Amino acid sequence: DDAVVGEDDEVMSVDDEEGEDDENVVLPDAGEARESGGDGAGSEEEEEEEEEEEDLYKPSPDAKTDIIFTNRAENNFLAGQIVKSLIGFSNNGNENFIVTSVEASFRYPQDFSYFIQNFSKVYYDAYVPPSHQASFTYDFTPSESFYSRPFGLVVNVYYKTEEGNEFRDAVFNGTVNIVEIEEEFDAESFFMYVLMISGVCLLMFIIHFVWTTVKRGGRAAPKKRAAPVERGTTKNKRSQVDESWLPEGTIQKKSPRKPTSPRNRQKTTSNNTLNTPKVD
Amino acid sequence: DAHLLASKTFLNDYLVEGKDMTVRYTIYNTGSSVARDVKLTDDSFSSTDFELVHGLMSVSWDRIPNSGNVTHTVILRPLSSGIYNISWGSLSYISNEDGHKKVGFTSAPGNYRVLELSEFSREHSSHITEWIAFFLMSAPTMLLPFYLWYSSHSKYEKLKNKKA
Repeated sequence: DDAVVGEDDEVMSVDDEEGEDDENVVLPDAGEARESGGDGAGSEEEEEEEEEEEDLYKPSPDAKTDIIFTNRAENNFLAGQIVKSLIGFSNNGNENFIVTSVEASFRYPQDFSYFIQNFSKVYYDAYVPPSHQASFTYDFTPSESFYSRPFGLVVNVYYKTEEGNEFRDAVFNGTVNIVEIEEEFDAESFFMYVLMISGVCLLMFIIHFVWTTVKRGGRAAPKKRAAPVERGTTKNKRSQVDESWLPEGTIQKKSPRKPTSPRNRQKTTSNNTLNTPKVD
Repeated sequence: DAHLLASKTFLNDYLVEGKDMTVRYTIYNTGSSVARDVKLTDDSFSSTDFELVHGLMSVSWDRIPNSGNVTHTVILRPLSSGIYNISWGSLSYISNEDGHKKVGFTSAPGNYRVLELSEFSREHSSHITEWIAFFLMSAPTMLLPFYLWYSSHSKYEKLKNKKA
């Protein structure tokens, strides 16, 4: 029972938070989407608290903000590629505004209190005098892991007056599409094709091998050939040894002695040594 | 009404003293009507630190149509190294038929570091003198074995010629 009560509390707090948040919604469809997905928001307690804190700030009636994305069409971003935006700020009031910072984040499109990717807050601290306009660049890169589906994008501009009244304006609050990069060369699929082609080649080779052996009438046993006896570089094989690479002067003249194996030589010498004492 | 947004960016990856850098201004009209008499001036580059190589620091356009954009580039040369806070250029235009004049600022690139030429070339030059030195230093290890081989080779060649 306790658990159920806890859940109810959480849902209540979510509803409260949404009630406050709706005032910042620019696009009506985003607001609707958020309300319909409210029940699933209980998991992100920390984010909710942060949101509630931020919601103390409202846009000032004397300031107007707008945004354009300079390198991509609006609502159509590439995953892993930089998005350059230009934010305009118009001071229509009678006192100085100080634009402090801009931050952006991707949210779950059905529930804008659920953060998917947060981008760095960029600090500008730029004075905008009355009836002046200023532009600010803000660049961010959607994560490469995002694949083709819609995301909620919120770009917040923080500014304050010289007295210290702080404001926040959601300059962009809507749904954008992340599309995959049209790569000219995809290494993964290239190697997949290489593997497939080599597989086909191997299969054809196996088929060819099997076909030729069957045609010859079963597995024909290879004919037994006498194993060649290695004779090394014996004298009678000398003619086969290519000595052309040796400079001519280095080749020793053929000795007139009859070739004898070392063993034979040893025998004769041993006979001699044995014989000599007998002679004496 | 017309509404202009202006960006000011560097096209160079590195700012180096004595090397040209390109500044690009892009003005977008996001409003609903034509912006007239658009004037862009930038006096954020002081003449003591930056030399103007090419282009105008003050330009004007008669009209920028709605949802159109214009770009303007200027080539400058930083005269010394160090960290510079590069601020905005200013913009003025007439936003509607009533002649309502609006003034604004371009975006500011912010703090940029101008590298010393030696520091830049250490990382990015082609290092020709270093390569020549490397070849000179590695030459003995190649030439000494070659000399030994060649001397013995020529000895045998001489022997062969004598025989012939």
